[in-house]
Amino acid sequence: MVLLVRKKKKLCRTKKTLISAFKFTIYSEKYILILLSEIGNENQINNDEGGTNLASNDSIAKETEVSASADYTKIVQSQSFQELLRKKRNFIVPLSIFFMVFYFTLPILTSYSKVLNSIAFGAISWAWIFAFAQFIMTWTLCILYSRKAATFDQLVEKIVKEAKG
Amino acid sequence: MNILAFILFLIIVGLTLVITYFASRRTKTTADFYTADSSLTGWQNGWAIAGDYMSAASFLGIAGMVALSGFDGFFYSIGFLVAYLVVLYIVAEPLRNLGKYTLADMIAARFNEKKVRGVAALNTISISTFYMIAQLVGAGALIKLLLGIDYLYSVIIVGILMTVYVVFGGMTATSWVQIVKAVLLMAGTFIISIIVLAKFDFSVIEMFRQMKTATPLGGDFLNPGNKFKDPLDTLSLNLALVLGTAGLPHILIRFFTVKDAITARKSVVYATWIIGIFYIMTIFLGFGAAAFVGYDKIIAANAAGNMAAPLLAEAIGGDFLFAFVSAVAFATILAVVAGLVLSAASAFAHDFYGHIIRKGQATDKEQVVAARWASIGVSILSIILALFAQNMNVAFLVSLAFAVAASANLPIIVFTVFWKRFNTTGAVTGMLVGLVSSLLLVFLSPNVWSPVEGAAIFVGEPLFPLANPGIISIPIGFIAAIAGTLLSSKKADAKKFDEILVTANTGMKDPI
Repeated sequence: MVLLVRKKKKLCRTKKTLISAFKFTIYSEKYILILLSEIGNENQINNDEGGTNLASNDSIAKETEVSASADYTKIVQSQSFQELLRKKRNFIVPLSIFFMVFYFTLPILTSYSKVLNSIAFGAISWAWIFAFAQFIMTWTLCILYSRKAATFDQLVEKIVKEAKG
Repeated sequence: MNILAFILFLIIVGLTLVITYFASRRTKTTADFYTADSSLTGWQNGWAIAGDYMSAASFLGIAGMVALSGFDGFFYSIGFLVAYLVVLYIVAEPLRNLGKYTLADMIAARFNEKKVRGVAALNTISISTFYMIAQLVGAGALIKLLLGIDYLYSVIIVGILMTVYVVFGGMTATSWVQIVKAVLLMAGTFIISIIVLAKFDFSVIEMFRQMKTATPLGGDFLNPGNKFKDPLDTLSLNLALVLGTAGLPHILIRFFTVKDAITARKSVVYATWIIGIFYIMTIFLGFGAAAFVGYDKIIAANAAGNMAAPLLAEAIGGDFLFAFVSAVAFATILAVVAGLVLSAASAFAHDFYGHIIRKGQATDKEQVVAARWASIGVSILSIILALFAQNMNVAFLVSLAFAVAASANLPIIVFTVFWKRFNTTGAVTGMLVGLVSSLLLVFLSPNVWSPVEGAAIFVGEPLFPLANPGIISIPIGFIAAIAGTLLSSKKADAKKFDEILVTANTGMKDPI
């Protein structure tokens, strides 16, 4: 990977005129960042943006780039990887929404109402019960994630095996 | 001067220097210096995260706030803990898989450009410096109160110690100082909690019953609303607390000290247990101080209530417990500032020097030397700033650190890993706008401006009504990152994103 980047850098230098043409458009797009761009001088153009722009104009660069990242794309498109992403999404998204809602319900209720000031038992009000529930919630979600993550790890192992053939 | 406290201070200083001596013999390469060669176990890193996180603000600040305002102080405990779910679910594993030494490494894994790395490093340095000044000012005031040493000398002593740990022992010394401190802090807090609970016949119900009449607030002590009266400000604070942790660089670099994402995950889980148990105990500290020290005495020692925990230790455990808790508070400060020096120094040495100035061509030895000098530079700078900030209300520095972390760092971390279209322009715009908007809003806030002389830094009406800018600046940070991406005519590099997706989720860096 590093070697390829270096190859690309060399290519970029030979195409300096091309780059400076792109540089103009890049700079005009990001007028706020001119100062910062200048600190980094023209060398920086070669990687992300210069690289892609160049690739579309230079067949050699295009070929090297494709071979560099084909493996990653292949892994991403593999069934196991898609399953991993889906499993992670199905767990993390709903539970993250849940804990954020659960967390903000406490300050919203205490700020805009007095319902939590009523007593649960003894002198302990519902506000305290809800506050302790936040701790229980955090620990429970930690345990649930640890368990679920074990199944992610198995999938990752499978993906790594497949990638290494 | 309290002789017993002084001896315990010396013991702690001695212990940390022994740790540093052994760590220095193992600190030779950049990997040793920045990440302790990723050799920590999940348990060790869990304790170290807890030690890095439970700052003097948590230990002394929350205990004081609960003692003075009851329920409202506990909001901090809840927010500081729930924040770890964001770290666990969203940040820790991709960060470990993508990064090497710094937060900027992770973002540069996708956008390998100097300006992206430069801005990310700038944010790290800003956040760590604000946080460090707050810790140093707190440390100076605390040592002055506990030992009667002048503020100037207190700050310099702490400053020299933190420099020694980091320069000689790097991440290994920093980690072990944090682990030792976390164990001491948990032990001290546990002992106090048990004694407090014993005074209420080991009954939590009895404790709550007695607290109704123990303070000047009466029954209201147990109800929310004593400290946070503006609903929007309360929500803003809670938002910054829960999202800020996942963007704090000194916490995030801790994930590079373990060997892989699985261990990083385990260390967050261990840390969450330790930190959670600690924050539950802040109730006993706060209630105990309110009941057995009393409102007037706490206020007399320090208007913000920062002395509540040491005074409680004195009231229920006598001189020895007071000395022990004071020494623990001192260790707490040392461990946190060491972590902060390391995170700022690694941004300077690894990101600015190593990647931007030397373009990744510096030898390992040169980098270690640069990192050591950067640590010295960061320490001297923050000591000088802390000397100027002596009479400042430092609460705004901490709120600033959390707001910048949540507004400038978190959007970029999330989008780098999860958003296919995200591009360089979006990353740079998001980071800069997040940084500037949170700085500006804090500068215009009641933390800086107050019509009452002495209540804030300047006299005058605040232009921005909220003390916590998070509810405005965090959405601004996200929107700026999105807007920068969508408005830029450049297309995101889809293949690069495939690479990021694979590395972030599996840890594979070079397939085949």
